[in-house]
Amino acid sequence: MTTEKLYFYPVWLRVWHGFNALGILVLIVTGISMQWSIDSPLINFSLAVKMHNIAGVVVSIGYLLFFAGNLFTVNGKFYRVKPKGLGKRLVRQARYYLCGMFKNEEPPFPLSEKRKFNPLQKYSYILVMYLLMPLVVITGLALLFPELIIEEVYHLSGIFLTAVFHSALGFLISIFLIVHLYVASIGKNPLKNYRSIVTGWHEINH
Amino acid sequence: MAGSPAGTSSGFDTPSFLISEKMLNLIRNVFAFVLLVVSLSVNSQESRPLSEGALHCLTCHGNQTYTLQNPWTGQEEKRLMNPYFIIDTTHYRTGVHRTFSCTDCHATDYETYPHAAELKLEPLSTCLDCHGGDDTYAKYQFERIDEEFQKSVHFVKSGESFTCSKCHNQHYYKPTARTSSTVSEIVSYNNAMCLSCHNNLARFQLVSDQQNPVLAQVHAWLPNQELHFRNVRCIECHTQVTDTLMVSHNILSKEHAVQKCVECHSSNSMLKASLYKYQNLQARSGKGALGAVLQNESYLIGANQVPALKLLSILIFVAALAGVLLHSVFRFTKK
Repeated sequence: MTTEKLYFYPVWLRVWHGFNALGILVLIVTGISMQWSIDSPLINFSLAVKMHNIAGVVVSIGYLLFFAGNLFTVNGKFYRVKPKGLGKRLVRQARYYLCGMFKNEEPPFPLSEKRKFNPLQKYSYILVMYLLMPLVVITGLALLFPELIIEEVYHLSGIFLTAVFHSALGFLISIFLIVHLYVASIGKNPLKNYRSIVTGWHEINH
Repeated sequence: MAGSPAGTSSGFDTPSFLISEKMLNLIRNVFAFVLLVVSLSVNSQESRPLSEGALHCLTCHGNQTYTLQNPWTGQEEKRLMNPYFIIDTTHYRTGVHRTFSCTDCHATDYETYPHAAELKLEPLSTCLDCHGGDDTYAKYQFERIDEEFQKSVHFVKSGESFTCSKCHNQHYYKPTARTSSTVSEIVSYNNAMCLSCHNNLARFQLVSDQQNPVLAQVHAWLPNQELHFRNVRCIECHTQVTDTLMVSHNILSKEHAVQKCVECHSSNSMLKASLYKYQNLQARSGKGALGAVLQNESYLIGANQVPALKLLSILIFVAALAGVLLHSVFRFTKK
């Protein structure tokens, strides 16, 4: 068995990923805490608001970095949607996760220099990074400047709708995080992927 | 109330042998509808003709200037009206007392002109002189309002000199909270009452020797101050909410006012018992059914305040955790 080392994660990506991970964790904890407003058992309300605002701005700026990085470097090619046969690819990968891997089958989409993510991984990242993240950033910024929000939408408070939408998006991103962290542990060595995102090098066993 | 739907279809007898029962009902309904529309349009125009008495006084008091036959010089002189004695006829026409003659409240001696100087010292009628102990106004509970008011910081600090009219301008007052269909109008109209003194030193000094607090400073602790000022009434935090009164008149000092965000920003929001007590207005206008349903259980902050979403999020969270747990169990057992 040979081990091939691929440089998957360039420095800018790892720096972004680090800041983003920390920021998102702060956002989730403070976001949950704020649900109880000042009766929160977790973090003092005004501190939670302050932390949430700061972390939100950090993650928003980070998102711009990520967006620019994918726009101007080769990393962007891993995020291109290829609709042809997409459903089939997703099902194959899901099948592997649900039963193939327990039968010691080979992964249907082995990673290589050309393929950094398996299809499920790729499209969940696209969904989160190009749909949920922009929406959560926009609604978050709107809530920082609530006077900009439309006052009433069909007799519902615009701020109320934005807040609920923002929380719902935040919740979905939290669920993504749980799955993201778990799936990263799948592999021969559960810690391998965590190490890769720190060092930048991904090991592939042939 | 002026302009309330009056009259029914009684006296609209049609021989039933000519028209079927169904038809009769239809005609009755149409008649009732027309009556309702007419009465509503009267209400919305809000410009019923002023009484002759009022019109007479307004020839001078509705204008910036008045003409006086000076008995000393024997000449006719044009003078500026004291601005405090000018009645804004546009607002007067939409006020609750618009059909009144001035002398219904002011001394009839004012009908002679020039007015006698000592008339200024006449004790003016108080609101309770008419509104108290009268069955017509029983549902507004003026006596209870008075009781509540006597506990308020306004009465405690200023005593009897703080009359109803300090807030409720007797010439222009509109019961916006009962008649307006938009919360923002209710809010701005109501807050203007507080600001008429708290943002006007001359009027403030009329009832208090203390310094008029600078509102932006004393509310510096309040997040999104401007937004709060625009969207909720001062009295939301500065009165004790009572279930049986539309608005409690026990105005609270800053020491006793609400400062806990969660009092409003929670599923048991205090606003439901105060500002949104008028949500039935929305339901009445039929436009806000969706809003009433969705917002019923909730007010900022966060998805936790929408029970359906809260349940859904718990289900998704548990499903995600269960999925992860199940998968890892398989991973370890099938290794």
